Amino acid sequence: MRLFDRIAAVLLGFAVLILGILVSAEIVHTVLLNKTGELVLPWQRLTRFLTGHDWSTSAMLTVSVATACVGLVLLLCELKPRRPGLLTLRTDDEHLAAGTTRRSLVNALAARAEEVDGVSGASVKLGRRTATVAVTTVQRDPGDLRQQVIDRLTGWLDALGLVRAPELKVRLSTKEDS
Amino acid sequence: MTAVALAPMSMTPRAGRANRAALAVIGLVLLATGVAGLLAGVGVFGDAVRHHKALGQDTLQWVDGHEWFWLVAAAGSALVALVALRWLFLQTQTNRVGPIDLESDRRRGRTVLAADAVAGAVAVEIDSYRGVASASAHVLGTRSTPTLLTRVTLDDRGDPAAIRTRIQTEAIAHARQALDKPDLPVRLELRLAGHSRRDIR
Repeated sequence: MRLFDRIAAVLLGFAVLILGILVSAEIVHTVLLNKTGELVLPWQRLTRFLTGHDWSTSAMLTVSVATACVGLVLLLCELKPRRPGLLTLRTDDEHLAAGTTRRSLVNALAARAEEVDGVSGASVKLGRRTATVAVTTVQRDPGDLRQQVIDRLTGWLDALGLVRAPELKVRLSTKEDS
Repeated sequence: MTAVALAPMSMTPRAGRANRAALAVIGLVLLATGVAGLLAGVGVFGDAVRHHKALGQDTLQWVDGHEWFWLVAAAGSALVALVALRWLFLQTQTNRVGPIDLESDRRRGRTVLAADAVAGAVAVEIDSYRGVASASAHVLGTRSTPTLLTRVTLDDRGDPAAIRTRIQTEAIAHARQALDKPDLPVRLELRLAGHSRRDIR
């Protein structure tokens, strides 16, 4: 979202800057210097459009709806609470704040699950409090494979030292099931 | 008690706040304008408004009779352009720290250390650890209250906990020693080794 903000800010910033300069220039050109015609902005065509259309015309309604939609999307994007970027890691240094990204934790959990013998694939969904790990195997009789995955991931999470490790939920399916 | 989530840290915090506020205000203005036009068009403000031109002759005549309006409009447009220029300028600003004074007593001379040099040395040191794929570091904040921001991407050769401990006891300790700030606040962001694409809710 910060990247979206940055791109939108640069694009809108340039657009508003150029528009502000051009509007000032057009006013000076037309009103103060009493020159006829347009410099750059097609304000005469815009004036003709606005003086030729009632508020109830489909053209004005379309413009109004489009403007409201763009405004609503922009407003919702900016007001939406942003999920904190990092999950805190324990440290014994009060001046050290350590954390890891949610995405990298997801990738790492899946990779660690796939390291367990018998696991042919793993995918992870990370919620606010739980990590759901979907594991696939080609073994017809997986035995205690699910428990092995839980033990592997629990041990790895303990060693990682998250302040609040997600609760693990592991689902095992054979290749034929998936 | 340590927080469960670490608030994002940006190298351009002023731009981040300004962008969010400005985009929200622009969104609100567009939404209000669009809704007002829509309400006028469907007759909520009465039939007279509904069948009124978007720019009526009465408005044009009023504007023609008041030249000061154009002066105010020109000045307003120029002001908006200046605000936009300032907004764009903010995008280029970071809160990276320049040289840091190592000598607090000016009577004993002046010794400065380039913060970028310290950050670079920290990054190079961490980059050399087994299990680290890449590392970057920056000194942010102010000269009197700097913070070391370190971003480390791990590969699958090492134990994250062991690497973190090594970073803390070696690279960070060296940075604190170089800056003569044993309580230098440090932010360590680890990107763990794994696959490249997974689903996050």
